Amino acid sequence: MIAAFTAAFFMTKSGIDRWQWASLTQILTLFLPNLRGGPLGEDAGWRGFALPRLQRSFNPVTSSLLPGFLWANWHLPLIVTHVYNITWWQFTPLTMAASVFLSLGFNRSGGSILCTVIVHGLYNVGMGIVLNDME
Amino acid sequence: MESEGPNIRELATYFVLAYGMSIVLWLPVLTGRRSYFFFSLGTFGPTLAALATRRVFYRDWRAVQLWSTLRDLMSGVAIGASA
Repeated sequence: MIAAFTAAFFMTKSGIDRWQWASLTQILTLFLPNLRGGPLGEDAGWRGFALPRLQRSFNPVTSSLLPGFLWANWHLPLIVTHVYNITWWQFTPLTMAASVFLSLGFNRSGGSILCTVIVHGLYNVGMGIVLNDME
Repeated sequence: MESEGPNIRELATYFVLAYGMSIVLWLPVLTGRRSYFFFSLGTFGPTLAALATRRVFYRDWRAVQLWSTLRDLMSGVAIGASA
């Protein structure tokens, strides 16, 4: 999350003064509803299924970046139709970075997708602070 | 029985199904209906694709591992969230 926030800091237009820091206090209330909007449906596929199969041939970083790129572009229809208010250039590196960290957690947990669902949910809620500034 | 090496066909099938299933499930959202239900439904494309791919190639549904141990789970969450 530190890396994701650092990347977001350098990519936003007006800096941290516009970030919604108050939403940090809403992490607990936003976390469970947010799980339905991505983590529960995505991680079984990108991490639980694709990652272990790629890691048979590639190192963990490459095995994370490749599905990370495909995972980012899987969101492309939502970006093109402005369901997501973010550009491809902003979204793709953030998603690929998140993919590496999620894979790290996945591997450390012994391959548990429950772990990546929880971490993914924390990322999504935390990123709500900066997304408002990434137009 | 699952192979030791990477199965390119298996992975390619998964990626195509994940994209295809989500786009189909997202159609109401992509055509202008701003519905959180349909948005949420589309995010399950990768999970459905993983299950379908596993079923096609291995005739079972054991596509992923949900759980290991509590200690490993907590460790993974801590590492993933703080990385």
